Amino acid sequence: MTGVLQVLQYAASLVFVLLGLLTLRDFLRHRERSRGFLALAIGLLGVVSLGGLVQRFTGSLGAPFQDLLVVVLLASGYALLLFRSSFIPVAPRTQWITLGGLILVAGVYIVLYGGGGGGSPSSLQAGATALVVGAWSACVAEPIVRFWIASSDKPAVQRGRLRSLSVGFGSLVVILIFAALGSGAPRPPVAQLFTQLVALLAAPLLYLAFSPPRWLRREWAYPEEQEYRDAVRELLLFSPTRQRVAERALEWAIRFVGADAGFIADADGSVLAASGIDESQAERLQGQLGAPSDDPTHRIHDGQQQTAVVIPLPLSTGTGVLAVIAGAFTPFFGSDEVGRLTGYAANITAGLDRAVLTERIAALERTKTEFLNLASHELRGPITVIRGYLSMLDRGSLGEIPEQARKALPVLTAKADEMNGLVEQMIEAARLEDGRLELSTRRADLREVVRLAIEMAQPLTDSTHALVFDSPDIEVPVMIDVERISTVVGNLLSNAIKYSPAGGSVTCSVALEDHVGKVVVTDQGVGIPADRIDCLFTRFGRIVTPETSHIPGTGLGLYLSRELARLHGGDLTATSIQGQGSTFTLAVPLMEEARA
Amino acid sequence: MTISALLPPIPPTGLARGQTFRLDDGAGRPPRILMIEDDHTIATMYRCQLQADGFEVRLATDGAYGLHLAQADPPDLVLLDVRISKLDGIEVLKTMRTDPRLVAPPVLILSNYSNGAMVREGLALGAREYLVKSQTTHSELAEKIRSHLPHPAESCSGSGGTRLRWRRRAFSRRRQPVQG
Repeated sequence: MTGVLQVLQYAASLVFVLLGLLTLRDFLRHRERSRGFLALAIGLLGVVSLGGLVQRFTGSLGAPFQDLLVVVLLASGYALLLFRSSFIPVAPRTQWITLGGLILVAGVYIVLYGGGGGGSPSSLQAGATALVVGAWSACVAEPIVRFWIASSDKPAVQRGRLRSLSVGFGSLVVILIFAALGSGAPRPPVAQLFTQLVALLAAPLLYLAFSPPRWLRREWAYPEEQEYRDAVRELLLFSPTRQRVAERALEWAIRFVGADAGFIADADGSVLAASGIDESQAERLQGQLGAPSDDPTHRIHDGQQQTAVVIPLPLSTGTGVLAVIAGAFTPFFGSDEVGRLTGYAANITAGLDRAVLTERIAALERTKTEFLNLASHELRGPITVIRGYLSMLDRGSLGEIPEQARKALPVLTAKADEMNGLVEQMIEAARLEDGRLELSTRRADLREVVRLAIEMAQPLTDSTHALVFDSPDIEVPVMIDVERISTVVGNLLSNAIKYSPAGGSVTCSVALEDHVGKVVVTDQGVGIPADRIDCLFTRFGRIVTPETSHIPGTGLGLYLSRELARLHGGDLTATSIQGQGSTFTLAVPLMEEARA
Repeated sequence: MTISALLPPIPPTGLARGQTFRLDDGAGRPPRILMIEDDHTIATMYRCQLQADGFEVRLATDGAYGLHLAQADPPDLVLLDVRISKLDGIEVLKTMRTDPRLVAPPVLILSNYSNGAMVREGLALGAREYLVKSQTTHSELAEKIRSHLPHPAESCSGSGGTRLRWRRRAFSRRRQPVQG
């Protein structure tokens, strides 16, 4: 048992010495002030451990050496407090009081313990040891609790580091208090074994907190990966503006590497988004960075020295910049972080460039809708005048007109009405597109609506056409905007007639199904190629074939009809066999009572 | 604009093939309509139509002048455009609602703008109808005017069959558009 304990003791001491050395090495690689305090805190623990080992091998080195180790221990506690202060600031006065207290404790220890080597310690000396342990624990305990609390709302990597640090130092506090309590009497071997094991575990934890290896950083970040992938998708597909893309992208770039701040600058140097720092600060830093170079890691100064990873964004308008600035709890930026950020930057570039196109398309769409709206309303004026005078001419209110001119009147009236119909379609389309279309629904019998529409369509037929109406004997109660649904049915009927140039029958049947009232319009006309049916319902999606090229139309009718049907909660679908005719089916929801 | 100058002279009221109607209030005076409309061509066309239908029509080409005419000599009915210069149609309507002499004459809005908000506002301010010019036929307009005149004369159905149109928008107070 004693042998095992001995080995463990040496191992623990060696591990701490190693910890100090590794920390020192990592610190020298990336010098940073805030991280320096953590390196100091951990490094000094290594020094204490080394001192202990030296003492054990060489026998007692005397009181001054012992005193020096105590001072080093207290200094490591103070360094941790300074590190915590760089992370969550401590008032300068508190820092000075703490420093004074620690010096006092060291002084008391040296006076009480001075020269008192060998033999079992007196109660005064035991008290002095307890005082040192107490002071060190107090210095360390506050940051431990603080780090643990602060970790909860941090990204995965930072959270992992803060927690390792808390647990690592926490274990040391336990060990030291344990040692101080038992310093008067020999401790049971089990307790000693426990102490050494805890010390052995604490060292790697502290190292992980200081400089977590790549695999561990990945492991910590793993649960965030899926969330990240979703975020990238959203970034690429659903961000409407460049600013929004930049803001979302930056938020993730920062989380991704556990940084504190960052910004994205556009090709012209203007800051698109900044997080953790304000925009003016971002602009200052952007000025310091200069052109992106091969080495993406930069040292920047803005009040204090910071490390930033700067990734160029090859935008279509020039080269922008993604800069991520390390904070106290950012792991050192290694090739892994830089690699991930570079990969991510490709997404950001794509997202930003896509947003340019989206913005441009949206602006075009807006202009087009505005134009459609303006033009169509402006056209209503002249149409009013033309139709007004035509009706007066027709009635003879403007005096008798020659017989020859009178023959032209029906044509003029029909064409003016056609023009009016087209303008109204344009207005309806514009209204639909900017979301201003409001339905005014009321209860109606679908049979009645369709019957009236058929009556209105009757004048369009010639002697070769037959309009057949088929409806059930019972009411088909629906909640609809009657004017608009009659327009849709009228439109289907007029299409059926228009696209049956050789005549034939046009059947219009009303049916009552489970949840819907249906209007089915079937013709024996030219039909539609199967692969073009979907194209029918797109805006301006007319299908022009040699047989139909002479038939006038805007290509808005079916688009509007389907949109109107869908606004009602229904739909409009089509089936067709080319050369044999088409069938259009309009479905609108039935009234609740009729469904029961 | 010279278009109106090219038009045939406006015939005297109550003429032409027995299709127009002479309306009066019993004292032989035709109903007097004030039309506030800043498009001169449209205004002239309507005046021509309405005179043929037996109404007496006064024209105001901007809102402020229209209000002045109405205050000077209250008409039997007002046809009001919304987008007009000097004083917006809605403002004219608001002012009329606060003038005791102008509360009585019914107001029909006759505009080529027909978005839901405008229609609602117009009707909420007491307009009897909101008619879209291009979608209201000659006979429909005459019918609407007659139905809203203070002492409606015999009702006469207008001529002209209904044709298949894309949409006919006539909003009345009885059937306000419902937010869809």
